[in-house]
Formats: sequence, C-alpha cells, structure tokens
Amino acid sequence: MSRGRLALLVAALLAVLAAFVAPRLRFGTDIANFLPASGGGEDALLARMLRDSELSRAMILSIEAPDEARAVAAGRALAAELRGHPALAALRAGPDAELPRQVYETYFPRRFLFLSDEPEAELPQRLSEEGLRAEARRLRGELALPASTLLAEIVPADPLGAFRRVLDRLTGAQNTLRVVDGQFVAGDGRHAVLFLATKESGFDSAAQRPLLADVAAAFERVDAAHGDALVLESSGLNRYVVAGEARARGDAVWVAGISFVGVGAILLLALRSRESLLLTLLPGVFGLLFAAAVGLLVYGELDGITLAFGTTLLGLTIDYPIHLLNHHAMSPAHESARAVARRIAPSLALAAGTTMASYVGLAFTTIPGFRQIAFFSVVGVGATFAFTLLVLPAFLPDARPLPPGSRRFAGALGRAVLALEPHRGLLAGVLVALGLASAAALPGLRWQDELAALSAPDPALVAEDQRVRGRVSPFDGSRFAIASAASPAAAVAVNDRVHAALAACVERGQLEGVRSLHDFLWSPELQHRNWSALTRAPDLPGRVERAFAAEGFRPEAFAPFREALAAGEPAPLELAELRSSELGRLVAPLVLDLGERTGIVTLLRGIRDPEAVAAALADVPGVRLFDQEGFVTGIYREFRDATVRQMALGSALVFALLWLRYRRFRPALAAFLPSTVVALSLLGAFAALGVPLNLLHAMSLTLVTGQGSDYGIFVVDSADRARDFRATMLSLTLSCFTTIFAYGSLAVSAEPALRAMGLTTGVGILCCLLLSPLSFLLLARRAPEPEPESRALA
Amino acid sequence: MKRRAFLAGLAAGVALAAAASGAGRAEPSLAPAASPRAAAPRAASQTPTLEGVMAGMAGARGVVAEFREVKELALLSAPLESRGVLHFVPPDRMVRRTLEPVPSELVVDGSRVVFRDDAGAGGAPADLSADPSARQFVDNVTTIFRGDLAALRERYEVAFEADGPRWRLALTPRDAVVRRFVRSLVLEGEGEGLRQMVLVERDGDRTTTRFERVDADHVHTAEELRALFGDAPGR
Repeated sequence: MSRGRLALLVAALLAVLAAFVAPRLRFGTDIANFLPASGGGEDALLARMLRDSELSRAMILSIEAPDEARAVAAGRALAAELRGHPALAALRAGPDAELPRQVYETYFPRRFLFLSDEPEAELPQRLSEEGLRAEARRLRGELALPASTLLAEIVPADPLGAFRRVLDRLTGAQNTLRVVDGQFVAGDGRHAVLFLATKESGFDSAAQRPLLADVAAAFERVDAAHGDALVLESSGLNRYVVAGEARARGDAVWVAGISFVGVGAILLLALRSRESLLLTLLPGVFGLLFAAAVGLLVYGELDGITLAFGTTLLGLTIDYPIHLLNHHAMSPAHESARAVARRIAPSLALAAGTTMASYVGLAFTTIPGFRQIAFFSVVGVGATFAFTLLVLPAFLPDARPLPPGSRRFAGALGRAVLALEPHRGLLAGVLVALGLASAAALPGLRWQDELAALSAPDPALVAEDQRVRGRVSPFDGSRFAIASAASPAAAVAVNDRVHAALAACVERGQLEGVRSLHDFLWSPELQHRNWSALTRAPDLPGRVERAFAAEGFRPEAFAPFREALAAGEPAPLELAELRSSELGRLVAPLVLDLGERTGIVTLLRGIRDPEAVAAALADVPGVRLFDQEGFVTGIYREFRDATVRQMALGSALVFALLWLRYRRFRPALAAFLPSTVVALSLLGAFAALGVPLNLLHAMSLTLVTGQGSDYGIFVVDSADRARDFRATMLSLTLSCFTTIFAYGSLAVSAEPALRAMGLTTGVGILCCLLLSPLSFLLLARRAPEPEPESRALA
Repeated sequence: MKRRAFLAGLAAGVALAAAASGAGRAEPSLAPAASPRAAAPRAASQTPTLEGVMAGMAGARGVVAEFREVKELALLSAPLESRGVLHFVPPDRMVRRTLEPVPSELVVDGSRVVFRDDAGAGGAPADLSADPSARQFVDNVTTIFRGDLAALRERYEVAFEADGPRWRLALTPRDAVVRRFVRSLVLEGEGEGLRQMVLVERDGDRTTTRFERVDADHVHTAEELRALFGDAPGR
C-alpha cells in the first residue's frame, strides 16, 4: 500500500474513531464508580444511597426580595416558570391542602397503635384511675382554649389523647418556614422558598447542567419583571457536581492547550520537522481514541476521571514514537524504518508491557472506576505501541531528518555517560545510600485523605448552600444515622431502636435533636404491642367513663371510644402504605431503597458528644453513623490505598517481566532500579520535609515509575551499540522534557492538588533521566563499540 | 413543613373562636370612657347600618378589650368559662391572651400565626403560619377588623338587623371547610361597637363571648407592640 493511501486510511480511521467518541464523551464523574462495587456491604449500601437517594436529588431555591409581598410574588412566578420542567420530578412552593385529611385518615383509625414507645412500661400508669383522671383534667383545660373545636369532635373517640400524641410527633418534625398566600417563606419574611426534586441523580451532570441553566434563565426573567431587585440562592448536590465539572472542563482546555503547544514546541525544536512532530504525536492520538472507543463499547460510558487519568498515562507513550524516530534518524542509511522498528521492537514491547503491568493491579480492586482506568490504560498503551511499530514506519521518510544540533547533543550525552564509568562504584554507593536514607525516612510519611486537601469545593458555593439550608431547616443533611435491614418492616424495627437510643442522647444533652421516620411510623411489632397493652387493661371503657365523669364530662359521650375498642385491632400502618400515600413525600428523604434492603435515615442536629452518640448506637445491629466528610475521606483513603497497592503489585510485575525478558538478574535490576530509587527518594523527601501526601501524589509516583522503568529498559537494550545508545539518550532527554512540560502545564490548573501533581511528576521524571545512566553503569559493561557512521551521519 | 398542615382542623377551630373574640373590638355602651370614641360614640342614637358598623371598624386605630367566654359543649356536664384580653392593631395584627382557667396566647402578625398554650411559661409555640386553615383564619379575622365589607360578603352569607341603636349581624360561612365545623356566627352590638358574639358549631356546641372594658380607639405604644409582638425598636 502506498504511503498516500495509508495516510488516507489512517486519517479515515481516526475520523471514524473521533466521530464515535466525541459525542459520547463527558467530563463529569459518577461517585458510584469510585466506591466499592455492590455486594451488600455497608460501603456498597452507602454508595448506592449517595448515588440515588432523595438527598442527592433535592434542591432548594431561595428568592430574596426587599419585602415579603415581593418575595411571595417572585416565588410564585419562579415556581410557575419551572413547573413542568422535564428534568423535575416535583416542585413544591407551598403546603399541600390535602395533607390534613390524609393525616387524619391515615392515623386516626390507628391512633391506639401509636400510644407509647414503651407501651408495657408506660401504659399501665396512663390507664390507671389516676392517669385517666389526669388526662381528663388536661382535656378539660384544652377545651377552654381557642383550638377546642376540633378537639371536642375527637375526644369522644379518643379520650386517651392518642391522636394528639401523633400530631405532637408530626409537628415536632416541622421546619422553620411560614406560608404566605400559599407560598413558603423563610422566617425573616424576605426569602421565598421552593423545593425541587430532580428526576435524575444529583451526580448526573449531563442531566443537571441544563436544569441549572434553565433555573438561572427563569430567575433572570422573574428578576427582570421585578425590577432586578431579587437575589437567587440555592442549595443542592447538583450545584457542586456541575461546578466541579465546569472547573475540570476549564482545566482540561487550558492544561491540554498549553501542554500540546509546549510539547510541540520542544519536539519541533529538537526534530526541526513538522512532519516528525506530527508523526510523534500520531500514535498517542490514535491510542487515546482507540481506548476511548473500546471503553465506550465495553462500558457504555467512560467516567471523567478515567478519561483524565488515562489521557495523562497515554502522554507517557509519546516515548515510543520518539524512540523510533531517533533510532531511525541515527541508523545507517541502508536500514529501513521497518528494520529499525523491528530492532527496537523488543525494547518498546517491554516498555509497553511494563507500563501495562503497572496498571494491572488496578483491575483487581473492587472499585469499578479503577477497573475502568486499568482497562482504558492497557488498551490505550497497547494501541499506541502497535501503531508505533506497525503503522508509523510506513510514514518515516528515507532521509534521516535529525538536525545536526540534536545529533551533536546526542553524542555529548553518550560521552557524558561513558565519562561516568570510572566512578561506577561511587555512583552505586550513592544510589544505595540514597535508597537507604529514603527508606529510613519512610516511617515519617503522612497521608492526607481529607477531601479539602484534594479538591475543596468553592467556598462561595458552600456558604450559599449553608445560608439556604439555614433558612429552611436546622438539619444540615450531612450527618445522620442509617438503619438497614433485609425488609422494610425489619428496617423500621431497627429504626425504633435507633430512635430510642438517640432520644436518650437528646435527653442527656449529647445531641440537640433528631429528625426521624419514627415521628411517622413505628414497626408493626411495636404497634401491636401498644394494642395488646391497651386491651390488657381491665374494663377500660367503663373506667374511662367514670374517671372523666368525675372531672365534669358526660360519661355517655364516650360511646365512640367503647365502639372503637370493640371493633378490634386495626391493621398496622406499614412503610409501603405510608410511602404510597400523600404523606409519602414527607418521608421520602428518610427512606432509601437499597436493592433487596431498605435503609432508614435519621438526621442529626447539634452533635455535642460524638463518641457518646456513637456508643449509644453501637448496640443496635444494622445501624451506622454517617458523616459526609468522614465518608468521603474514607473513599479517598480507599482510592489512595488501592493506588499504593497497585504500585507495589505493579512494581513486582514489572520486575518479573524484566527478568523474563533478560533472563539475568543484573540487566533486570539495571532497568528496574533507577526508577524505583527515584520513587523511594521522592517519598523519603516528602517524609523528611513533612509534606503530607495525598492520592494525587500516589498517582504521580505511578506515572514516574512507569516512565522511569521505560528509561531503564531503553538504556539497557541499547547499551551494546554506540549509535543506539546515543539515540536512546537523546530520546530519553526529549521524552523527559516533553513530559516535564506536559505536567508543568498542570501549574495552570485551578486545583492545588493538580499543581502538586505536576511538581511531583516533573521532579520525578527529571530524576529518572538523571539516574538513567545508572542503568548502563550497573550493567558493568565496557563502552559500546563504535559502528560505521550512517549515510545521514556522513 | 407540610406535616404542619394536619393542624388545619385545629386552626379552623382557632379561627372561629378567635374570630368570635376578635370581633368584639368595641362596646361603647358597656365600656368605661377609655377613649374619646368610646366615651362619645358617634351617632349612637341613630339606627345603625351594616356599612356604618363596618366603616366604624375600619377607622379604628387599635382595640384593647377584656373578654369573658362561655363554652357550652355536649361533651361536658357544665359550661366552661374563660377570660382574657384581646389586642388588635390594624390592619392585621392581633393578640388574644387567655388568662383563666388555662393561660394561652394566640398571636397573629400579618401572615404569621403562633399559638402558645402556656403563655409565658416556656411552652413551645405552635406555628400555624403554614397551615391553609390558619391562613383562612387570619383572613377572616382581619376582614372583620378591617371593616372590609366586600371581603366579608365573599366569605359569609350576611344578614344584618337593627333595632334602635342595637344591631345583629348573622354570618353563615360559605367555605365548605369552615362549614364542617361552624353553623353560624352571630355578632351583636350597639352603635359602632360590638357587645357579644355567639359561635354555634355544627354539632350544637356554642361559644358565647362578651366584651368588657373596651378601649375602641387604642393607640398601641412601641413598648406595647414590643411586648405583644416582639417588635424591634423603630418598627
């Protein structure tokens, strides 16, 4: 096939890949991909909860106006604008007028099932002569109040005050909003409040981005109609997700742009040929597109983190074409490009193999996102390698285009390395000393897994979120207890115990308050115990009539109570019935469907003694305390641990591959040791300087050791031929500086952690280059024999 | 939030009872000479009209009145009596403070409706503001106090009778929710002032509220407003 036809074919292939990949790419990330895979464990439970719960779908809008009337009008107008939006599952601007009826119909027939949390202990006293007369006196006092109209209707069927207790619990769970003309308004009267529930998870940035844009546009219209006097503030997970994605997108454009221009400039300076530059970049572009296409076919979609990490990894594979181009340029004129490719193929294969091996460890974690990264990286590196060997040689020109300056630089590098040979022992000693000193410093290594150290959310967003939530509810939603069980009834039973434990904490002042499903629902077992305790009391209707008559009531008025008891035990209220009723929306944020399990959330407010609260729940099986910050920190710790384990496993695999390739210990060690010492030294330096390490440091070190081992392989494989050795040293230098430049571009990132990653990688790769001659010196060989100069050299 | 709405029925009761007491903003013939208007009721000898009574209410700067309430309930073998003080500050603020037998306080401040059943003793207030029926109560009360005849006709079927200086205004709720609890509301007065109000519930229970010691044109001081509504200075 002619070069022209091949070029067209390659261009067509790239175009097809790009056309397939581009519309399917997204820069968002799904946290569920980076949490342990499903399996019923607590982490899996929480992962699904975070991903799919009502909490992640909830959004609150707060519209500030100069006065209450305008706030109400603006709230109504914005609600009208947004109602019916296809991304919204619900929008509430005011209370539901049907709710009182629903409460009455749901609870009044079952009022005697909700008498007491501890029926066996409490009811005997309440149903005694003294207890009944006390209740009668209390009711008589209440009948004198303005609110007695409804009470007078209820008392004949409920002289024990059971329904009143239900209502007391429900009112205890209320938030701080008022209603003006049917519109929720914050206590200060200047903020109208809307509650939104999105159809998709808050983590789904593709669904949330247009919704947020539409909300902003709708508000603009409402604001314009109100003389630009309004201020919109909002709260919701989706805001963080979309803002994070926008920041990542902005970073990606800047970093990629600067990286591309910088790397291109370095290569152009060294190669002095636009064609060579294009050929150098082509395999990486192909590898990236190919890995993305295959990844999309296998997984359906790729996570933003997979793309980001995979792309940086593929940046390392630029070594392959650089290596081929330099070896080709410095090869004898009679040696074809394909022959050069065949000659260096073992080195490239080993380099690609070790790089892939270093990521195999990720495939063995339980975290789907890690497995996706491993898959993407292995496919991408393999594709880049194959393209470099199979396709690139066809495009290499017959002429050897290496500029004289680069050729002289290569010669100087070769001679410099050879000049070190007499000091081999000293250098080896320095290497060993460096390794030992670093190892000694390692115990002082500190890991920092807090999310804030990695990627702190915009403080302005956080402050706005807190302001909005503060206007609506004293519960922040980030701290709660979660009870889970295999069935809804069992979960509600666990929640009964959770509530009892937490109520005791509130009583002891260890906790300010809770918002619990217990305010709405008790387990069927507890409901039945209430009925049993009630009906065990002898001649209750007669005693009620006598006790109330003694306090001024007409005894015959209580016939409905007698009839209610005679009617028998009503069916218990169950979770499914509650959720399917109009009350369901009230409890929706507190109940989670977790596949075959049910989770019930209890929100906590004002934890004054976290240890005491944790201890109180320790005896309740199936419950755990959840702290959002701690949970996310745990996720990142898991992420970092997996990366470190993968580094260790990957290093072992890399060394095994090197030993298989060379079949001797010394060259394997020579190729392996420099990058390992660099990684060790960097860790030792961080420890000695007291710099806390995070996940991105670990990921950076993986990149450093991956590229460093490639350097060792190339040096060892070219140690026998002077021309190859010079070409290798030139390739390593070019590769090193392109890498440094590529990662140096991370300095423009908005994320401090990414800037640290750039520094770690840059310094590490430079050290790998500086220590790469040690691979040659460790081989303990004589200087490579000079070969006849190539035609190009002549 | 919405779970508070269960208090709808409760609030309806509150509304009606408080409306009853709130309607008694002036009773010149029984009240001591606490204000010029109360001391010298305008045109007391003329036959009052509905428009005139409502106009008189609309012109008030504020009301303070003691009330005595008698509840005759089918549930009880004897009537229940209570007494307290009512404050009204136009156009939409009111405090109904019951002193005996059980202290309680109902505060209406614009759209805000708060009820305490143990006034001043640390009892947790129940905020009824989110309740649609509470909203209706506020509207009903302020409609009467504002002297808003058009709105009154919208909410009630109105029948007005006069006999000399005395008059009787019978209101029958139009709203179906209110009708579930209330059969009728009858206001009786003399001149521009209100003397008594009778609320008859659907089941026959009856609440009669009489007003005494009425200051029908009371200007509430800043200190009084602060004590009643917790106003910030300068409001």
